[in-house]
This record gives sequence, C-alpha cells and structure tokens, in this order.
Amino acid sequence: MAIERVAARVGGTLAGAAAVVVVMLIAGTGDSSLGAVPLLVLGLVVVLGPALAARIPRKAVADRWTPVPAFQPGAPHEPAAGGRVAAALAGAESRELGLASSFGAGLALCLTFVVLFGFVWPEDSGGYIAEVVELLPVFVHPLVGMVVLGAHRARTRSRRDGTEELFAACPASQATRTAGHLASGWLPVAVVFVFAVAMPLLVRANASPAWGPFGVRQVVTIVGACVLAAGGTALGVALARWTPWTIAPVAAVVAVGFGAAHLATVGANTSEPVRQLSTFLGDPEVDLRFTAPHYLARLGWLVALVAIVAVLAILKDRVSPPLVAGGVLAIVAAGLFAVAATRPIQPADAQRIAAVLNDLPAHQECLDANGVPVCAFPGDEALARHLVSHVASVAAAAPAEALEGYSVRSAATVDRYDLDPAIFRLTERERGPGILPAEIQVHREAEQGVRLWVALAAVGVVDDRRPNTVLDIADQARGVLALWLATRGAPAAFVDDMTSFDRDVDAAAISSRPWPDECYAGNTPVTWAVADVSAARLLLRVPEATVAATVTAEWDRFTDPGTSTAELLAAFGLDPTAPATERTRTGGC
Amino acid sequence: MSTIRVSGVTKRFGSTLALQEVDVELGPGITGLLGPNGAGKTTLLRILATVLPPDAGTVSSFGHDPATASGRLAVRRQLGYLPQEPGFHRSFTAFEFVDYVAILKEWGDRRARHDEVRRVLALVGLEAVMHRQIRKLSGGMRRRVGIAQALLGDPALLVLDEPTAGLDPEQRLRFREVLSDVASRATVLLSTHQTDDVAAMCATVSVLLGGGVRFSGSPAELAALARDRVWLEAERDPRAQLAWITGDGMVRHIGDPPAGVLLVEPTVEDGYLTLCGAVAEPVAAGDGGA
Repeated sequence: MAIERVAARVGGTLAGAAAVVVVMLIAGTGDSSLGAVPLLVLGLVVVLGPALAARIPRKAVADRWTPVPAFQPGAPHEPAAGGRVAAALAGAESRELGLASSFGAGLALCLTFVVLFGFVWPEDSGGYIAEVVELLPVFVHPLVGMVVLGAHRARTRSRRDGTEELFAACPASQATRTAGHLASGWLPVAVVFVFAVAMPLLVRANASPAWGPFGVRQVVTIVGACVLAAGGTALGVALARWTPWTIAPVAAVVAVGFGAAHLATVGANTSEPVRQLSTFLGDPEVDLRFTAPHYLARLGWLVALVAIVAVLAILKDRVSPPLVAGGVLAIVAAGLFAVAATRPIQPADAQRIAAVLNDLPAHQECLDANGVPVCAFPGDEALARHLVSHVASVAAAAPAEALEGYSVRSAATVDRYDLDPAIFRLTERERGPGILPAEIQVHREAEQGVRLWVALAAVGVVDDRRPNTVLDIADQARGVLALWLATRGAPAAFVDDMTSFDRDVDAAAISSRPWPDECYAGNTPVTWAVADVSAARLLLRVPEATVAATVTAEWDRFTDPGTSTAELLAAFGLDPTAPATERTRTGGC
Repeated sequence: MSTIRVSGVTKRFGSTLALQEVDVELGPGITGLLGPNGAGKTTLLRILATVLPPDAGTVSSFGHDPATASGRLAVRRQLGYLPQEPGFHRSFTAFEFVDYVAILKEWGDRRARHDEVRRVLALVGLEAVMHRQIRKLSGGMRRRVGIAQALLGDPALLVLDEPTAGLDPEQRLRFREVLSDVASRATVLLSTHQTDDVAAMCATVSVLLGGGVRFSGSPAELAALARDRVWLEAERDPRAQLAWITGDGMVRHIGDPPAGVLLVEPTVEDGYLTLCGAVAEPVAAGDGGA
C-alpha cells in the first residue's frame, strides 16, 4: 500500500524531472566523451521511473462500506494557536510541493547541475571553490522559478478544486492558511541548502586539485541562495492571493528572470554597483578577491525583498497594525540595504586590493620548482602545488641561470580594465619584473600557458618583450626552442596542443594554437611563424637526450635572436621547413 | 431546547430572493430540511455554516453571533459542514484530505489529529482505502470522505447538504447508523431530497418553499398533512394532483379523493408532495411554521 501510494504521488515529480532531463539530453548538454553515460543513466532512471510506477499492479477496491467499529466519540482537543496550525499546514503543503511536477522539474535541473559540474566536469570551474559558490545563485534560479509556479498552484488549489467553501467554514483563517503556505518554503530552502553545500563539496572531492578560499563571503552567498528559495515560495503565494490566474506566476517568473538578467549585466563593468540588486550576479571578469561587493548588504536586500513579498501575501487577508508595521519596516530595510549594497567601493578596500596587485610578491607564498618560485595567495597552495610539476619539468630542461630572477605568480594576468575604477586608479600598469603570469584557475589551457611562459622566459623572449605587447619571434631558433622546452615532461595531449597550428580555425574560435585559449591562458605574448611550429614538431622526433645535450651545448647560440629556425634544425641534421611567411595567430577569448 | 436560532433571515442574490424572513429553531438531534431545488435550502445551510452572511436577520449558534469575527470563530470551532459540492483535492489521498481539513479545524497535535482522522474514516467505512488518491475513489466513496471530514472532532453542530446523494442503499443505511450515534450529542441539520431518510432519522423536519419555511414539525406531522388525501386505484384518476404507478401495479394518488376509494396511510413523502402541490398558506404543525 505504501509503495503504491508513494509511486502514485511521486509519478508527477518524476515526470517533471524526466521531461527536463530528456530535453537536456536531446539538446546535447552533455560532453559526448564525458557526460553521456552518467546523463544517460540519470535520464533512464527518471524516464523509466514513472513507467515502472504505473505498472505496479493495483488491487481493485469494491465500493463497499468496510466493517465499522462501534461508535467512539472523538477525543477532545484544544484549538491550536494560529502558528501551530500554520506549521501543520506547512508540513502538508511542503509534502504537496515536493510531489509537484514543477518542483520535480526544478529539482531535476539542480540534479543535472550536480551531475554535470560535480561529477562529469568538476574541473570546469578550474577547481576554484569560491567561483563554484559564486555561481550557485545562478544555478538555483531554475528551481526557484519552478517553486514560484508550484507555490502559486498550491495556494490556488482550493479555488481550483472547489474546496474553498468547505475550508471557509473551518476556524483557520485565510491569513493562517497563507502563513502555512509561506512556511512550506522550508522545503525549497532545504533543497537549495543541500545543493549549495553539495556542489562545492563534490567539486572539492572530484576536481584535481580543488582550491581557493571558503570564507564569510562564500557562506553569505550560500545563505543568499537559500533566501532566493524562500523568496520563490513567497512570490508564488503572494501572486496566488492577489492574482490567482494560472498565467500570473509564469509571467512573473519570466519578468523576474529577464529583470534579474538585465540588472546583472547592466553597465559596462563588472563592478557596476546596481548589479548588486539583481537576484544573481553575472560571471565576474576578474577574480573574486579583487572585487569587494557589499555582500552582507546585498544579503540584507534580498531578505528584505522576500519579507516585503511575504507581508504582501498575508496583507490580502489580514490588515493588522503589526503586519503593516512589519511591511513598512521591510520596505525601509530594503531601501537602506539597496543603498548600502550599491554604494561605491570603500577606499580602504580599493587600497587593499590595489596593494595586492601592485606587489604580488608581498602577498603570496611560493613553492620551488627547480629553482623557479611558483607563487600563489594563501589558501591557494593546491594551485601552486599543481603548477609546480609543470614549471619544474620545463625549468629542468633549461640552464638554471636562464630563469634566474623569474617567478611564476597567479593573478599576474588580472586585467586592470576589468577592475572597479576606484581600484584601477590605484593599480600600476606593470606587475613588476620577472613575474611570469599564471591564471587563477586549474585548466589544461592555463597549464600550457604557464609552460610556454616559463619556456619563453628561459630563451630570453620575456626580457626582450615590452609589457602588454605581442613580440614577433618568427623564424627565430629560440621560438622553436621555447616550444620544445614547453613540452618537456608534458602529457602527450599537451605536446600535440602546443606544437600544432590549424589555419582553418576561424579567428573567433577558441584557439588556433600553439598559444592556448586566451580565456584560460591569458593574452599571447608572441607570434611564431607557422613554419616554426612545424620545426618544433620535427625537433620532437629527435631523441630527447640528443636534443637536450645539443641545447645545453648551444644554448647561447640557440637563444640568440639572430639565430634562425633553419640553423637550429641544421644543428640536428634536419631539413629547413617552409619559409616563415605566415604568422601564427590566436583565436582570442 | 433550541441551540440554533434563525430569526428573520433574508438573503438575496441580485434580483433573486433566496430566503425571505426565515425563522427556524433547531435543537439537539437531527432536523431534516426538505424543499425543491431552488427553495433556498443550500443558502440557509451556508448561512448556518458561516460561509455566507445574511442580508438581514440574525443567527445565533450556541449563543454565538456569526456576524462578529469572534462569534464566527466560535461557531466554526463547533461546526462540521458538508457543502452540497464540497470539492476534493483529487491528488490527495482520503487520509491526506481529511487530515488537511483537520489542520484547518485547528488540530495542531499530529498524533492526535491522525488518530481522529483514522477514527472518522473508519466511521464511514473507508479505512481500507484511506491511502488511495481521491481521484481513484468512486463517487460514493468521495461523498463519504466528505462526511468523514464533517465528523471531525465530534462537532456540536453538523450541517450536511445532501449527504446521501450518490450513496447506494446500503451506504445510506450505514450513514443513518453513524448519524444517529452522532446526533445523540449534536445538533444536526441535513438537507435532503430523500424523504425516507427524513422519516428514518429526523426528529423534526422543516420544509422550505419559495425562500420561506412552509412547515416545521415532526416527520409524522408532515406525513399527516396528506391524511385522507392518498388513495390507491387500479386506474389513474385525472382529478388527482399527483399519481404514479407503484410496484404492485396500483396507481397511488395524492389529492382530493373521490368518495369510496381505498385511502392509505400517508408517508412523509406524501405529506411533502401535498405541501409542495398545495403551494398554499404556510402550514402550521407541531410547534409552528413560518
């Protein structure tokens, strides 16, 4: 009996979930190489679930009056207080919300995100926990939208099913019923909380490595995501009381979605203050630690908004002085928090951030990679450890003195123009001498970028290049040598990436190589001749020991800008490649 | 002793006068409310159930005035109500639906509430199917779910609008059994078209016609209205107000009997039909009419 009941009621949830996952599967959300199997399994479970549930045999029940016990009067009971009634209603309504198809669809989206970013692509975020957390409010928006629909449908159920007259004859008031529906929001809040905690934990467990700080800002962000879930419930209930038509919550979800998306992207800069008033923040262009949003004030703004909506829901049926006072208080609080959240960055914060960017060595901790310091911010040790192996294998192939004075530092590629103007004004154009940039993320493209930076530094290109420019090293032996150095100890896939050039790749594509995707590796510092890339591939066919010995012996000649690619190849008995007429180019970001 | 007093209650819907200066007094036990469709029965019941305010007149339920918020709350706390079309949340199970109503009836303690829900569902014989979704129950079963929710908490006032509609004969008998137990401690007002239910269960009966109470008295007194006006003949007599062929092939007539016919003992139905057919002055019987 219990299985049948659960199967019957859960069918709707599974149907909603199935619809979402099937659509996502058909839409090809998954990476064919990585995501197909888990997604397919998930899809099969949710698709087959309702079908299996429907096949559970049900015993026909005759419409007979089953034996009735001797009449026993009911036990006396004292009327429960309104709060207790609302709490009991919340229990019943949360059960219904949990079994609603709309909620199931939202849940399916959350589960899909968990599967995709927690298991299939845990490294998509670069293993950067703070960034994963920052994206949580975006991830929960579909669920929140579905909660709006579900809560609206639940609060209008009595109207739809014709039970309003029966319920009106009960002692519980409309306001108490509304409070019960509002309190049913604990369920989406709990779901979002579990999701928001599970996601970074899964990334932490499955990304290699996972790193980055987890502090007050991240906790506040998670709490903010939970507030959104409560807000979805409140909005659905309020709309049900004031606009009980089916189209109302759909229109509201669309309007809020577009409004939030507009607010999150308004203005030219990530630091645009009014963006803080959106229900989610757009993907930041700079690392979180170089922004200083007033996240506590923003949380207060969200809480106040939810409170206003909740009060509005109850005001439909009960206008009492405390409630009105609460509503006024919430409006005042929303205004104050809005002002606080959108006020300019505090000078102290701007100075603190600028000081970090202007003097990275003073704010980072370093690990040694064959004489080259690999440095990252406190809390990012895992990132530094991850880069050490790449840097060390490149550095080992070059004379020790070639990399003297260089250090690999994360955050050295932060673009000043993406910073808040108040920080921009305080930052220096140059990061300082000898700094080889590493992106604040773990990604194969970023790792290839670090390898190339170290190699280019070793052959003297970095010294010759004016900052923020692209140096043409076409037909220079040192350019080919840098490509060879960069591939030392690298996985085969890296070697292929860094010694290839696809002239058919559109300029807008992520990369045409050998410099990696600039989104991950930063702007390319050089251009090679396409023939140089071919030369590097030829060099890779020569036994490594042979090349290493010759490179060591001929280091000064090979790193001389005047030595051509052909001369390098000749040193290894290789024929020259085509003339260096065509330059490599990157696809940008 | 009267527990419910309705005095001069008038209710109008637009240009339609549903109730006109209705006076009714109800005491412990079951009172049947008869009347043709549109007579105002449901309107009167809805007023007693506090879901519809009267335009004029007063109602007193156990000394409480439903016109005030506190009075309404007090009445609702003692009320069990089955609307004519109660509606159901079809995705709920019978247990969940009755439990939901129990919550609205301020049963806060979960365990006690569930015990009560199981009790009332058992009373209406739905124990075996209480965890079935309402959408999968027959019409009769749904009606019993409606009755069950009305019985929650042993209400002192039970207002039932056509509770036996859709019940088969056996279920109606079972319902009578339950209601007779409940009525020993409560004031019950049930609206029905089933005159045999009234005859079998009700201590008093009121007949609403054209928005007013045309009769109040015992079922026997209602039946007595047709005394010497019911007769049997082999052929239909065109002078009769009403005539129908009975199961044994005879034609039962109501009206002014011709001399020499076979008069039979009238039933409540005969009395009611006589009253409806007469459409005459208010008929006083027992403790009065309107």
